[in-house]
Amino acid sequence: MDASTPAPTRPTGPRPAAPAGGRSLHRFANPGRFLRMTDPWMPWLWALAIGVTGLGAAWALLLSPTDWQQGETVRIMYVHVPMAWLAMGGYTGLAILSIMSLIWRHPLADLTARELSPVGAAATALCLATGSLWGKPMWGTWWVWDARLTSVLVLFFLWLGHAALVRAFDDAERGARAGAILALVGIVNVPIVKFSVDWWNTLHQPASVTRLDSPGMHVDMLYPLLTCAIGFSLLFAVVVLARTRAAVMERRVRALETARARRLDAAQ
Amino acid sequence: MTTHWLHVSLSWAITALVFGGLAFGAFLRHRTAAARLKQLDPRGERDA
Repeated sequence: MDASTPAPTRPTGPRPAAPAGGRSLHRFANPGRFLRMTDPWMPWLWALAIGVTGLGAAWALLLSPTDWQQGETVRIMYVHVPMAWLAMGGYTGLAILSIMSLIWRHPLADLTARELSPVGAAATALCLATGSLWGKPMWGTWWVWDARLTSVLVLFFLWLGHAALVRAFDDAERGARAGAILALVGIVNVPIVKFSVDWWNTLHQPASVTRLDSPGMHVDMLYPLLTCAIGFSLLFAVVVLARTRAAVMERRVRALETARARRLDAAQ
Repeated sequence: MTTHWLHVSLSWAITALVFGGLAFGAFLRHRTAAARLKQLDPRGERDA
């Protein structure tokens, strides 16, 4: 280094501000604050989720018309399609939580991802099961290895893999990091699920609701379907929120038990 | 009950069971953790 060049010094002055997104996210990093903020909302969220899902179920099962080809079996669509959307949307949420976990080391993102994956796996399993129950009377078979069904099965294994991986480490932080990497690798499967019916010749029908030009469904069926989708999405979100709240409290119980055990050890 | 209605009923029943089970599981975990917290740290209840 040239003698005239000043030696590098540590920067002085106030610490640079965190990015706005990170700062607002870290408001929720305090578990006590998270519990206090969500507590008054929980009964209302449960009531709203159960109410909208109940309305959607009554509309779908009792009021919506039968399909001229599928008959009554069309009523499976009102639960199968929301589960498919939740499987894909939930996995996208898991990838976003994983980014938050890897970049900001947000502790609540880790916990939420950990609690989200079993619920996402359940929604994907329901999507596969209800699809199978629809396929038997409509296609004459419970299962075919076409691109849509196979890619959803892969999605189910990714959900299960995440749920298992984050629980496989003694060190929760290492488990969360491994799970986040798996979630980000697995996100490549979501567009494959979505566009599999366009890219390959599949027995599964192409998109009818999310078509960009116009939905290929009569409003008498579209409205109950959207009501069911909103209801199940609320139910999914409130279940994940309730599990995350329970996980925050369990972590606090473990911390207090460890502290108490240490105090007892020190006293002996 | 026709086969069509049987499949419709099964689809909705397993969905209700799975989501009901998840909700009940979360409720039990919350209740157990809250009770244990009350034993371990009675004055910390305001945070929980």
